[in-house]
Amino acid sequence: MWVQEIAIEHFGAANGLRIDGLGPGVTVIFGPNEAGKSTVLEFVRSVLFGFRKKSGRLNIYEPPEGTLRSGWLLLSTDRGHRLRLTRTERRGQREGWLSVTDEAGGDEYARWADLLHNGLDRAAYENLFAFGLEGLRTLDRVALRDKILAAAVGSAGTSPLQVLKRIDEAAKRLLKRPIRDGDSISILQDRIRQIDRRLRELADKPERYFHLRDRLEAIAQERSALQRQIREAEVSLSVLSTTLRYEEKWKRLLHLERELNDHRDGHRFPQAGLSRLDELLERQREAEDSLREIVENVQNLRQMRERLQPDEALLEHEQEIRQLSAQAKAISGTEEEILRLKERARRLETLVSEEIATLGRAWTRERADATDPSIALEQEIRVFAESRRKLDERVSALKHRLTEASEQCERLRATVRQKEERLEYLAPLCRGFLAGESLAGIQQWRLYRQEVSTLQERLVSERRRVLALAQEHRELSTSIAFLDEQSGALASPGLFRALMALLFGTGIVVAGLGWPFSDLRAVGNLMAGLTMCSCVPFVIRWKSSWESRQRKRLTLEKEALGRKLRLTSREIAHIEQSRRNIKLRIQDLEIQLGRLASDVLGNRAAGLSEILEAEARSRSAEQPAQEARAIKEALRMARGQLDAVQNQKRELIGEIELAESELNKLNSRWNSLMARHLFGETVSPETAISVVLRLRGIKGKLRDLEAEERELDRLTAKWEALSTAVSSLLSPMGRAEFEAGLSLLDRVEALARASDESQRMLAEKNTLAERIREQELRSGVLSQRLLDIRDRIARLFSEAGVTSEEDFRQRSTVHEVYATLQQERRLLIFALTAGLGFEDEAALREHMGRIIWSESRAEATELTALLANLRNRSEELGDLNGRIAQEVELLEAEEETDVLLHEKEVLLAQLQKLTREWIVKRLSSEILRRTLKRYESEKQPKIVEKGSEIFRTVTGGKFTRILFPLEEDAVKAERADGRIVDESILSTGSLEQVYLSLRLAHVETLGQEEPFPLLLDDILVNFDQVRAARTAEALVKFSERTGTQVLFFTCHVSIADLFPDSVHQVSLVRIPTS
Amino acid sequence: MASFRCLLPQDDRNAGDPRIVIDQSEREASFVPELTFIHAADVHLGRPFSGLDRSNPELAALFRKSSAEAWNRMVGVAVQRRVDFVVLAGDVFDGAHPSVRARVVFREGIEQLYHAGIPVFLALGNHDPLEKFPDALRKLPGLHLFAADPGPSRVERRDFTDGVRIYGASFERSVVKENLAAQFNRDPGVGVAVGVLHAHVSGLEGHEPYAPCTLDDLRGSGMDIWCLGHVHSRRILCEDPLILYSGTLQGAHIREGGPKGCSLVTVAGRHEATAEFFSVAPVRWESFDLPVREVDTVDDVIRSAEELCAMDGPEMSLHATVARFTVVGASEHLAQSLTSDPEAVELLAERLSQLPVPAFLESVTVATDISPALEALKRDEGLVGELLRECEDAGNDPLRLDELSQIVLKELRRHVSISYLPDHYRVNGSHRDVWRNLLREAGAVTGQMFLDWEP
Repeated sequence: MWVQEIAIEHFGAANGLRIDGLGPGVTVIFGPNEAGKSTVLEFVRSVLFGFRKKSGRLNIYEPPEGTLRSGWLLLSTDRGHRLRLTRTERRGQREGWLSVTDEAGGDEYARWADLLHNGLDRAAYENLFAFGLEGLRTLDRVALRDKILAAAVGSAGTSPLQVLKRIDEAAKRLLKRPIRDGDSISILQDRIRQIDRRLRELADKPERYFHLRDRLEAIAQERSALQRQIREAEVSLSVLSTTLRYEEKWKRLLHLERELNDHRDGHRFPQAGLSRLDELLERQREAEDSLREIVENVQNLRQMRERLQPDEALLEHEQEIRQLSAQAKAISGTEEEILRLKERARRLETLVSEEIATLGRAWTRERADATDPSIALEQEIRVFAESRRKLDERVSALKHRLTEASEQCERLRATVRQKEERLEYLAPLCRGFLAGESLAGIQQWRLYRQEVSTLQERLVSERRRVLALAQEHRELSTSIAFLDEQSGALASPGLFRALMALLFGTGIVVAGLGWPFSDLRAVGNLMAGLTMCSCVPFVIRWKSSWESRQRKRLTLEKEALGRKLRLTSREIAHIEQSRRNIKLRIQDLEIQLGRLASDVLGNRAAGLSEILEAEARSRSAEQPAQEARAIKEALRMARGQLDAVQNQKRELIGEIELAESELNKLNSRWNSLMARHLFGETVSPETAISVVLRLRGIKGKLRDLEAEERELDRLTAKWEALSTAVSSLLSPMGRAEFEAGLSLLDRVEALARASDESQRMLAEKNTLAERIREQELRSGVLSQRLLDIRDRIARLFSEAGVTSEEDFRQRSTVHEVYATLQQERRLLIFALTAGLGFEDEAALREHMGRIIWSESRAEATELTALLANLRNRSEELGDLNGRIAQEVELLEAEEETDVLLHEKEVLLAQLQKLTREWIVKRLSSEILRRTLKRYESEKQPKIVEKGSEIFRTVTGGKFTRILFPLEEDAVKAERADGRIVDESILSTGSLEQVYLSLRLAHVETLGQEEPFPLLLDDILVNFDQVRAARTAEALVKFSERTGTQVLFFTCHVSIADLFPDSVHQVSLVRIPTS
Repeated sequence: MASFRCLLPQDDRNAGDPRIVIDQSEREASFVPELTFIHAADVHLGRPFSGLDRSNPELAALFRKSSAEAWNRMVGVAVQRRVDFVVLAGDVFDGAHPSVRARVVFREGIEQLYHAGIPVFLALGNHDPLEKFPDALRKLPGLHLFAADPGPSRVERRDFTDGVRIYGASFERSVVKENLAAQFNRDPGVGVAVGVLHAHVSGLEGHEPYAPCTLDDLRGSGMDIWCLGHVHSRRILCEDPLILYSGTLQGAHIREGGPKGCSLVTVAGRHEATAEFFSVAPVRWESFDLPVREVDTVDDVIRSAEELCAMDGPEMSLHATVARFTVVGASEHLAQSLTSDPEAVELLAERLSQLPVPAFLESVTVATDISPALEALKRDEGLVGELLRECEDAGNDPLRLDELSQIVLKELRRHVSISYLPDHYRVNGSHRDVWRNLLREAGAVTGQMFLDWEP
């Protein structure tokens, strides 16, 4: 993309600054100090990446008096789009709001937002694309290194240094990683060491185990001996204790036997005699009471039976009475119903007569019967009424609209008149106004004019440059001639040959002087002469070699000068061609200017003053012209509206006439309908509907009256039939006058009640007879039971040997005492015999008779004490045994060692796995590091190659390449002689050239879809004239090669002149924005 | 089957005097019945499994108990088969200081055999040498412990003509470099001579050369049968005379794969000895090649793995298998998933653990260590291609390989205790194959990082 136009509305001090006519290649923007170059540079950055926010002493280019920053760039993209990027600062949004619009003003932000930033942030953009001298000296080494490395790898996203860093970090993490991220080698080692420590602690457990087993064996033997002693003592003590335990029982037995002897009489008595007697006496009393009660009941029942006497006649006709009663209940309300129906029929008669009378005197019951007040008729009447109402409403609505249309016509006519008057007034004021095309023509005229002026300036500049080059051409020709002369000077062998011949001859002569070489001096002469002669070939060879070198040097210099001469000639020819082109362009532009002036003002020779005058005229007439255009438009619309309203009025009149015709037809149809249905022709629809409804009500009532008369006849017949049936029943029974004073229904009711009473009495009499028979039967049974009881009492007395109840009771008391004593004696003998283990009572009595109780008690005490001691010892050994056995058991079951060994092996496996991973990582790191080193020393990545190429061009071959060590910060440069120098010892200019070269190479390898324009702010000031010129040339080539726009800001004319003439130059001129 | 009876009084049956006298008067000259005995070695009681970098509580308990279980199974086989005796050729315990549990298991086994009337002849090895063998276990009833000097033990058998004599020698110390086998000599008049020794027979790689000997030494000793220990895989070195390693009872790492157990040796005549293998290991280690095809899904591959692991023990029921899979085949993506995706590995482990004989996943590796993409990169002129070629070249140059391993090991030793490292990380200039592979993997890892780079 390239910037076509920059317009600063409010930004720092440069309000209303506008730079246009920028081209897609290199453009030098010249401006003196304070002209706003830095402001423009910062403005372009701000439009793309936002206005700066206040921070410290940083200049954020706030306009004076608190105006908000704003402005726009006009961009052309490589795809041929023209975009306008407008950034406007807002309150609370200091970075400003960016809008991207196309030529038609459509919002294009969403489409271009990403591409506009090209994946760069502001810092990267400023570092690479928009920098001044200060920025040039700050190289973004990290980004550059990443770029270089990515180029080495072949993938834009992968940096080997980052890969290396990640590998090193991973290896480091494996050694010591945070605990939350899992185990590391150090953690695993610590855990293994802990296990080893614990295993060492556990190593003495086996010895302890076998020691404990020996202890257990000894304890077991001791316990065995103790058990034997305890068993013996327990047996002895057991015998003694048992005997002593039964001492009291033995003594009690002797006492019991004495008492038994005292109660011998209680021996004879029936078993449970007293209770049996009491039971028999009780049963005897109960039987006597029951017998008395039964006799009384029988007497009462017989009396009640005598008192019951039912009516035989009623019992005989019971069935007939029941039927009559049912019949009477069925027609119980019939009498009242007959009266009610008669009253209702009378009221209906009256109502119908009254309603017929309300219809009018002409209406009789017969006429009402003859008419047919159907629902269809009613519907027909209603449809007619609705149709007539709608037609009436439609006619009145149409009349209302007609009135409105007439009023609107009047209003529109008045408006048209007013506007025509205003147009007549404005017509003279609009003269001199220029339309949009004419204005565009004027604008174009001015642009052409400006271009002509610029081209004329360039003609002058190029003229100067041609003169300079011609001078340089002459100088070069002179230099070449001089070199030719020098070369010719070298070709002078005559003198040299003569000298050599002389030297040789002299040598011969000197040698010959010593002939016949008889003395030492003569030999010396000979030697000197020979030496001189032998020197001649050496000198000749040296001379020849020197001449050859000189010739070669001169030839090289001549060739270089020749190349330069040719270049100069070519450049002169190029500039002359350019000047011709410019002149042609100027001629062309002047023709265009004439044509535009003719089109707009009708004067081909019109100058700037006429153009400005015409513009002023047009501006003053602009307002009335616009007003006139608006009025004409309004007038056109008003006339159109007037025509439309008049048409509408005519249509309304036609519709009214049509509706009234339909209304007449409807009335005629109504009259014929009323006549047909006997209502008369003058009746209104409402009245007709009312008559129809009332007639329909009267006819309904007449139908109700007939139905009620039929029901009255049916009820009267049923009543008569019941009366006849009652009389025919009572007469045969001889009770024709039965309850004659009552109504028919009450008599039937009374007859039914009397029949029910006779039935109830008959049933009660039968029940009483049954109960009397039952009581007589029970009386016989009770008499038999009494006899049995008395017999059993007599037998009891006989068994006890007494005759009365009193004696029986006294004997019972004695017997109880005897039985208790006897029972206790038996228990004691059993307890003693079983407890002491005797076979029978005799053996017991014999043994017990021999015992001395005091001696036995003493012996038992001694045995108890001995046994307690033995048991205590045994328990102690048992506890000890248990503890040791438990420990042995625990040791045997102990798995801690095995568990720890297993765990250790797992940890070792994990450790070895991590160690292996670490080794792999470490090897990766080592190998990658080595490869990178070799790569950087042997193979230059693309970006450094490009940078080196630019740097080589800029320095004229004094430096051959740039080196960028991957793991160092310092940039190095290699001189032509192969020496590598560190950036720290490069001159300021050379260092800046290195940085600029690397930047240009970086930009070139970015591969942006729409490359950013390069904005350079006077970066050549530290370069010498020659290198600056080469740099300018390099920038032009860079722009051509990469399609990148270069905007070069400078305040130095000399620097601006360094750029080739083909480079467009713009002066920073303030042109107020409209 | 007749039973053997040890005739020596208890006091004579110790390590100092290994000679056990056979009651010659009770021999029957004309009848040579069948003699059977169990040969076991390298029980390594208390030896943990190694090489498993993760654990499962249930299987860990099973693994811990596996060596004891194998021992008990061997005892059971001896009792069930009513063998005449048992010979143990060293390394009963894994360490010189066995745990209580290991000692108790050993003692209980010996007691069980004693109660069944089966004597045990034990020659100690480098893991449990005489100088460190627990005193409390030396005098167990029914156990005959050989001394350091080779000598015979006699057992009497009423129905055997010339009697059987068992010769053995124990390691005095952990390291025995003498040729003990050469010191064995058959006594004249012996019916069947059985040699028991923990020794390394020359030609068997991968084992410490303790008590080194040659096959000729063994043959020259005049033994009818040599029961050897030290090599953990079962091997029959010679059939006449029968010279065999019975192998360990229970494998403890992936290099001890396959069924493990003891040998039931049957001597039908005096010189007709055969050995029958009894697998007693409750846990088996196995390495499998797991084929994957392009069309396979993860489920297909897991099913293949299940089929590979669904084995039934030939003799005794297996409690578990520990499996290592090497993925082979065309599907690089699947191979990558099975080795690097924790979820896929977890799924595989879970499915294997649900087999009737559960399998524990030791590891999954890939046979091919460099992907086609990296192969292509290797031919590239860029930095990565340079790096991969550098790895290849350095791996093939012993000097450069040693120099690299030295740099890495020097740094490694600053961080990791040398005792925790395997041999190939301890000594410079050794195990070049291992280092070559490591270097190749380093190249592949780095290359892959470039391929998969995400900033």
